[in-house]
Amino acid sequence: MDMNDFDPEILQDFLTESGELLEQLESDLVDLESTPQDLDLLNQIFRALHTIKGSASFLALTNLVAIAHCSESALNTARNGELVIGKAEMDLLLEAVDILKIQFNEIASGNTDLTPADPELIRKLTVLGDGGTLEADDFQPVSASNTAENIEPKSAEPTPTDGRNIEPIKLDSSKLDLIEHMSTDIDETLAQAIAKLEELYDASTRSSAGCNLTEMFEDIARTVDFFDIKELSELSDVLVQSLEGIESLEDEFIEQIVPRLHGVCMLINEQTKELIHEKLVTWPTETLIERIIKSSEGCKLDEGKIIPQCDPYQALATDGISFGSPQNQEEDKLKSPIQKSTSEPASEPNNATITESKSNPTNAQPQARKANLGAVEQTIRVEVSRLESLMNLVGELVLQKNRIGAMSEEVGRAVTDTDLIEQMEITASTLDRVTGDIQVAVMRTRMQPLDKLFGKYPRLIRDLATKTDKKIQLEIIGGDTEVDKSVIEELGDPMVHLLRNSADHGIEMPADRISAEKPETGTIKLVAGHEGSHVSVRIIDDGKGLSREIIGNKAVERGLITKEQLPSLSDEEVFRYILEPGFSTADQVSDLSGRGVGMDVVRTNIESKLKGSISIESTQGEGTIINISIPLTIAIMPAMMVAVNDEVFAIPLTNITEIVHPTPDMISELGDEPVIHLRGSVHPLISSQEVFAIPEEKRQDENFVVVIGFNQKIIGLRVSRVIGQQEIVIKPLNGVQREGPISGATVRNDGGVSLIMDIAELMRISRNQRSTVCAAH
Amino acid sequence: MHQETIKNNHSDNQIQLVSFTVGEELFAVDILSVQEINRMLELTKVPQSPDGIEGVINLRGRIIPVLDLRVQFKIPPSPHDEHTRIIVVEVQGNTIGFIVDSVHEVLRISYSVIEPAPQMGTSIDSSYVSGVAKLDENLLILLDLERLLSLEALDKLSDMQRTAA
Repeated sequence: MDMNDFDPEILQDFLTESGELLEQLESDLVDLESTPQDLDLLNQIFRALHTIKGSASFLALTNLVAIAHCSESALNTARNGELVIGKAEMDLLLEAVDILKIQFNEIASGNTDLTPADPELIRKLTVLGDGGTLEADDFQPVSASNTAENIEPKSAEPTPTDGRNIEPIKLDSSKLDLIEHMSTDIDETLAQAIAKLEELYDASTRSSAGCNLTEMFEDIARTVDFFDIKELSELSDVLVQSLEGIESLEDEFIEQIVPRLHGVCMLINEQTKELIHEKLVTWPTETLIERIIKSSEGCKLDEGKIIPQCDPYQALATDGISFGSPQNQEEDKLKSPIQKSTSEPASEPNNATITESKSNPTNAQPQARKANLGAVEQTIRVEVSRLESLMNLVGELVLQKNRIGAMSEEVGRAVTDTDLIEQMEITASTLDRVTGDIQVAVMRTRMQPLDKLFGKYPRLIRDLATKTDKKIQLEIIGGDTEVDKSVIEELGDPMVHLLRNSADHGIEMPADRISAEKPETGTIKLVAGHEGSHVSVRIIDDGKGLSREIIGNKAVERGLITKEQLPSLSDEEVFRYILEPGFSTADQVSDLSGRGVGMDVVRTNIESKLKGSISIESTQGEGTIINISIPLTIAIMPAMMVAVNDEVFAIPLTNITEIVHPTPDMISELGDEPVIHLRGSVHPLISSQEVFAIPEEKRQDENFVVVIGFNQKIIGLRVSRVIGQQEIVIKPLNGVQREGPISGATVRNDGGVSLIMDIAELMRISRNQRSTVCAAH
Repeated sequence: MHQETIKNNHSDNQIQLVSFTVGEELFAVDILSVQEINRMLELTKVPQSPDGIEGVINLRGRIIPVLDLRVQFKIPPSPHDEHTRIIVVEVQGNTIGFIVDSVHEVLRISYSVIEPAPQMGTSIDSSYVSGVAKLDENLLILLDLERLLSLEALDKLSDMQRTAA
């Protein structure tokens, strides 16, 4: 079957849903390594993999199903307590996840021919799935590439006496491959379902069991639909159908239905087994189906009424199907009769946790189900592009609101009708408030928890630790902090680089750590949280810390600063050189880090794209703290509009600490460098007309100083006039300007365009000015 | 639909053009690349931008760069008047405006009257010209917008002016 037969939308859904599961799966696996006994986690992983496999098999992605299947079998043995997942096993599982990722990417790029997994990997996982161990594995004969043989009936020859009809059918080869995997699934689900069926007898557990069973049966029906065989689908449909309204049925009907359902389960099981051999088994099932439906609709059966709690063979026999007998099929657990017992829920086979948690207080479940259903309906998937366009529209709305605000003031001056003015002002301020609320609401739809990003890092750290032979643990705090989607996107690369740096350069080798009297295992902490209108993300490692000496020398060597200036810099200023492009103190370039490219990405993404700031603290021998602070959203922000000569510029308000109208004695020169005195402290002062290269002859007086704080540094920026505060919507400035301290443009209240100053760049200009002045001396 | 438009516009080996003047010369561009023609709008100058770029304008919420063809063609600047227009075009997915002295007319000419660009005695770089057509008394210069408005062209311009200075 060609994947192109499927609706691209279905494929897209598969990619979105399964992609999310896969991400979760990976981080869960890494968690599992440290807590191999955590059964809940194991089950969660198993379920995720199972769902991926299920959807993939529906789409006939054979190669994907193959690798998912054998990983799942391995996990299943672990779940049954027959395998402890150690490092070697985890390596295999993670390798499998990597292959799944590759295959997902292939699907995303429209490639239907997926890369098959390494047969050796599949074989090893299958060995694990069969309860073998990796050590012993070499001595075992190489088995076929799947576990299908486990469930193949021992006696392949069917007994022709039970009224069944066997006819050969032709299955598509891709379907044939899949049936081998899927019949295991069906087999397992059926076993669980049969175990669950007995709970239907008890009125108190009936509705919850019905709910669980519906899920299982729907699962079966979906799988079975794939083969497109009428007889098989018929049976599975009956299962689902019979459960509708089961909770309101009288006991007498339940007694009629349950043994028959058990019988149907057995029939389906038999059919799927025979399908592997390309044989279709059928029975005269009309009576059976009819009677099940009748009972489930609450109609009394006149004929064919069966005695309560009879075994499924008897039930089938009543309906004209002689399906073997329990005596000669003893080895098959599926066929043991259900006993209406008062057995403890805990005595269920523990793999019943696949679709539902094990035991529940009987009364709590119906409510839990309702809550569950409600939760499902409370979220919908929305295409990101729709949210983007909504955000853009809100941006436009904010601009128009600003214009209305500005106009209402003008109208107020021109019109004398005070009532009208008052009305106008009230309307304008209501509009202002509502727009603000819409803006917040839309922004919130784009918020995602940082866990989306952080979830990938345990794996990253694990791999880094393995590659470098170090012992590293990663602690994540505050992963539920929500930030704008764009922040998540831009933050991804910098975080990877920073973590790599911490793991590669920060954390020492275990031996060095011990001799430094530190715990052998290094710790990297990732701490996120809200701080006012900003989100802070800190990466804290307890490694060897940054060396002021080494970094300083390197900076001098690279001509970033002179040897004489070096002592005047603070530690932080020296550390910040590691963010310079091409700056690396690593003696050797490894494939992890050392080329000095990464930290440049960090700075570009965080400072220029996210308008955030980075600060670095480090104590040699004790570790390094990198603190990233980013605004909650970068699409709309408050700004101060100032005039530079005749042009109006916007300065992000978050970076402004104050605006002063300096008296002459506040401004002086230190060396040749202009400075401003503010309450006893001295800060560098730059002229905006100089920065924006306004020709000397046109320059105006600059009577105001905007005091800008960024990365714990403060500078004064002289401007011609201060106009006022405004919410600005950042628009890209495409193809116009490629240098200079401009980060974008916005539309003003009056409809004109203003440029937005790039604070990080201004800071750099100020620093460079200082350097050249110093260098000149 | 778009395909059809192209066919309609360019049927019978004809091409539909917008002609305009800059200085003494008559220029034309393919009408299909023209999005709109506006009266002069308030321009915001962008510091440290390539020299050919006059500034940016607010085009219904979008911010687009605007060039002055006089700078590009080394024609001495003249003040904007009521005939000055901004022609907004889309080139390689970018929306760009350029200032012209006046827009002349929309006309249809046959491909057969278009001749390859000769080496011109004017100050106009012939690589920006895709062809010339003789119309009555006038010479119509067909511009290659992709070349004219590319960033490389602007860089070249900046470099030239820097060297000259």
